[in-house]
Amino acid sequence: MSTQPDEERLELLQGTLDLLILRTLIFGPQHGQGIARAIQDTSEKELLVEHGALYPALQRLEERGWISAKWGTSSNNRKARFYTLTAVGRKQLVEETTKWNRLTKAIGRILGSEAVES
Amino acid sequence: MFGRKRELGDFTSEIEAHIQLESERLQEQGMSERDARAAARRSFGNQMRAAERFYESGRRPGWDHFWQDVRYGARMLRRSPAFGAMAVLTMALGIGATTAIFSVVDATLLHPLPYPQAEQLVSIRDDLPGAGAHDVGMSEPEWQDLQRSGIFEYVSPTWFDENNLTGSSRPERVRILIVAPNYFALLGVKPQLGRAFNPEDHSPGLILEVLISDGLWKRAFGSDPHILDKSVRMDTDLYRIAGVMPAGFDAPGRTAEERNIEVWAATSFYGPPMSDHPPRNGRNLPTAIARLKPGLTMAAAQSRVDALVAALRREFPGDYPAQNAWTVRLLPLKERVVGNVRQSLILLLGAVGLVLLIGCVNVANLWLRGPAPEDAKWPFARPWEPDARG
Repeated sequence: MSTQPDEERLELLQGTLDLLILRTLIFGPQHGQGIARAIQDTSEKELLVEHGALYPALQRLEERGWISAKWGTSSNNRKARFYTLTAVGRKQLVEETTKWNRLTKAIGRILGSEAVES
Repeated sequence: MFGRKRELGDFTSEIEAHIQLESERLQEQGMSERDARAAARRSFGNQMRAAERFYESGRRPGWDHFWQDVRYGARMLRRSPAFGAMAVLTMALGIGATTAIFSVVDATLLHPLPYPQAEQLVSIRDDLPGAGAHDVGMSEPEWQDLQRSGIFEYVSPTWFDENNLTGSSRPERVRILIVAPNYFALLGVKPQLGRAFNPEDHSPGLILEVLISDGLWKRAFGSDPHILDKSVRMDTDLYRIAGVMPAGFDAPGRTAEERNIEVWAATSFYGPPMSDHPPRNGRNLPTAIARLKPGLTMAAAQSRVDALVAALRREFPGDYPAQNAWTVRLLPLKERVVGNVRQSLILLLGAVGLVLLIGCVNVANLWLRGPAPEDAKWPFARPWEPDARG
């Protein structure tokens, strides 16, 4: 577990989990635990991903055809379900990222100029 | 969704794998195996909830639950037929009563009266609130005033009577309605045989023609096709039969008695045997119905009637003493017909609705007590014997 208590971490905004999953998968196929770990590590443990919420999200993305899944073997020789970004998912990621950047920029402008500058 | 549906088992084994991977990672960081596993589970959150969400994402849970309930219900009923019979009987009584009353409400309150443009039909009611008298009827001059007012297409007083009918297969007592000649034109109903009264007829005295009901035609005249040549005697006067009304035609009325009219006679309510010049204050025409001019609303018609009444009271102060405060009210004919039963019908419907509700509660109660599982006991354990079923 991380040293930071859960209460101090940021809860994910509605809808951002999908974006983070897609982004994580850009580096190649990954299983659920790996995705959760990667999100937590890359955000320098600022983001709290409830692992239980991750799987329904993965399921949803799979049903939309943005990611595909296949059982395989993990690096330490465990059976795990690996997720891969599909072509549609890749396109979606670009779109969502653009949208997100516009959104944060707009919100940043409202909250204060230094947020945009930095 | 489309394609092969993913099995729930596959989903749970994925979660298992996740917890395995996570706890191994934690062990690498130096946690004991037990702590690591517990921590992995904790950070996963609620496994059951995740599995549930997965399960529900691909299905319509309502439908699923419904079938589950149906199967469960059928199983319980099979297991305890006495309980089943009791439940079915209770529900059947409740539903039966509700349906029966509703069919009455539907027929009387929800359906319009069976005449063309029935919403234009009104009942006219004269009141003398100053004298504490209501529904006092109108006089012939007042009828003529209303007729000529331009508010109504037709106005017809109705006068219920009983009479001895002879000239048929055997003499009998019949219910007769004395109306203005425009009565059938007003209702918009034509006879199945012969013709109705001439609505423009304004000759004095009784018109020596009658129309008879389908029932009377069949019963007293054996459905005689040549009925129109015949005459009948009512009390002492001879009347020609001008027509036969269709089967299923009922006069608008509150009671079966008012509806099951067998003979219609017409008059313009003056001339022998009545007065040649009926007095304005002789309220001898008990009730009246009318058809509003097309396009005229009830409210507009009422305000024009009010104006007419005010003018008449000014013109004939002797006949309309101010202290009587004579008023004329228009009511939708439907109101008049269902009037005093509306409230009791609604009450009755509410009551049987409650009976159904109580039935449901009772069945639910029985259910909670539980049908005796092994021994098929009578489902009503007596409450004062708390351990009657162990």
